Parts: sequence; structure tokens; C-alpha cells
Amino acid sequence: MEIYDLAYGLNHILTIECRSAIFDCNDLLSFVVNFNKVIMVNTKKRTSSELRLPMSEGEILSMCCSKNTLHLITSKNGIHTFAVTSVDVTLISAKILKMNGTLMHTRCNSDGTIISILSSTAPNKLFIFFLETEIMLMYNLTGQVKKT
Amino acid sequence: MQFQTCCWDYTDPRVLAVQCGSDKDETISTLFAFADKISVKFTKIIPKKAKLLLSIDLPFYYFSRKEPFPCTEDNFSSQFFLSSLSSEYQGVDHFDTVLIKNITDFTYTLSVGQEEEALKILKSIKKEIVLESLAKFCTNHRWNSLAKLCFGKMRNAISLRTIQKTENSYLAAEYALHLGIFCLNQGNMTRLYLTGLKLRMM
Repeated sequence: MEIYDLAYGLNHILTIECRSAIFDCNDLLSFVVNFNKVIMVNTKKRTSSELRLPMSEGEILSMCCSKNTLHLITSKNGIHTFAVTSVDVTLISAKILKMNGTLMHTRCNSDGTIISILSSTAPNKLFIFFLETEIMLMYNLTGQVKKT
Repeated sequence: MQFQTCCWDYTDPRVLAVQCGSDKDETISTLFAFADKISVKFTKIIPKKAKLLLSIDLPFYYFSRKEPFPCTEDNFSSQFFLSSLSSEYQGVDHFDTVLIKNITDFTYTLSVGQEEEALKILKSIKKEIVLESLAKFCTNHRWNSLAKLCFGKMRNAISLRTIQKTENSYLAAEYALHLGIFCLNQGNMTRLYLTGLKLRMM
């Protein structure tokens, strides 16, 4: 199963089109976020499932996806990575970002290994998080790069 | 000036484009993020009619338009969206994924300072118009030896003569004059060189 395309809608709705060469099917998945809960709807199969993060993880602020993974970023700077199939999502890893401030805008690269983060409290800084090594780099407007 | 948005390339996981803006001007920086490192490819001013970067799929950047474009049946999508070709991909067939990857690899190796790797990639590029685009890129980023090689491969006699005559600090300016380059991040540098050239000619 591979995520083919995605679109962000209103009210934290992320729609993902998944295609699987094995089953030769196209599924349209919608992820609806509400506080610490994600509801996944498969519009083709007319099924839905619910994924709930512990309250202690805080609120889901942002999400992004790549090939077959979905990343949820929480208000407590957690990154929860899930493997996506047409029927459910499975937690792969949970990591903590070493940064302060409210996350504003997150995007994932095409192979799901790097996440870029813009923070509302530091609008002149861009954070780049390497998921495999858990290294966070900060790039500022003058072109300087620092390890945080 | 602050960051407004960022987008990863649709296919190449190393390429990230970042839009920054203030009241006066808007710029777009293209970065390479790879192996726990970030290197800047270039920074340039975004097209006048563009508002916000929506996506990047090299060789194109896609923006939303400041004002909707008059719509016809054929150009429904271009009413709201604007595509901008990245300058170093001028003359590339948009379906030639091998050449697109070669150019991206070439700019990546230069941005991380691997000149020998860049040379290897350059040897595989034969299309003249692409070599000219790469010559401009090398000149902009002051890789004069590679710019020379591009001109040599193009068999451009005028450019080669210019290079052979001017093996000095004004080289970059003369290349720039010849190619008609004036880019954002090298603007002041080029202006300085031009002043120097004028003084020398007096």
C-alpha cells in the first residue's frame, strides 16, 4: 500500500489517496483530527476506525504523510509515526522533538525520513528533524545552520 | 522577513523549498537536506504574479496567483496557479527524469563542495542548452572552473575566448556579463565586479 496523493482540507482533515499494486485497488482515506483522536475513514469500503493518543500526549497539532507513513505531531512536541494500510494504522515509533514553542506547519519529505517544522513562536527559524538519527537542525534567515 | 511556508520536492527526498517574505519582497530558497546536513542551493525572488508556494516537483515550482488569470476552457487550472521553471533546468525535456536527476545531483554535489563528483556528472550531460544553464548556475555560484568546462563542452568559441583572456579576479563578472546574469544572492558581488571592470576599462 502506498500513499499516492494527499490534500489538506478545513478543520484538520487530511485526505489521502492510497494505491496498492498487490490488490489493484484505489482507496481514499480521510483522517479527521479532533484533540487527541484521529478518525480514519475509508470512503470506498465505507469503513472507519479510530485512533486515540493518551491524554498525557496532549493535543494533535499537525500531521503530515509520506509513502506509507503518517506522522502526528502533538502539543507536547511528540512525533508519533504510523504505518498506513487501507484498513488501519499501526504505531511504529514515538519520539520527542527537542524544541520549544507551538508547531505551526509540518511537512514530510517524499521518503518519510525528514520532517520540516515552522514554529509560530520563532517565525524566522526553520527546523529540520531527521527521523532516523533524531537529529534536529535549525536553519535561520541568514543562512546559518545550527544543531539543536 | 519571516518564513511563510515550506514544501518538499514530490520525488526527490533531499530537496526542500522555503518561502520567506516581508512587506518589501518575497524570496524562495531551495535547500538540500540529506545525511543530517542542510546546504543551500540558491535563493531567488519569486515571480511577480506569484503569491504562495504550493508545491515543488522539479524542474517546476507551483505558486498560487496574486490575482486570478483570465480563464478559458483550456487553462482552467492556470487561472489560479502559476508554474515557474527553475533556471538551471532550462531546455530540459520535462519527461526526461534521468537528465533532471543528473542536474539535481550536479547542483547537490556543488552545494556540498564535491567538485570531483560534479565533474563526473557533468561528463554525462551533452545537451547544449542544458550546459548553458549549468554554466550560468556555476557562474552564479563562482565555480569558474566548472563554468569553463561547460563552455568547452558547448564548443562556444566566444565564451571560451572570454575565459582565456580573463584569468583574473574579474572572471566572474565577465562570465556574468556574457551570460546576462544578475541573481539575488550574488547581486552585490556582481555589481562590485562590474564597477571594477568599468574602472579597468577607463
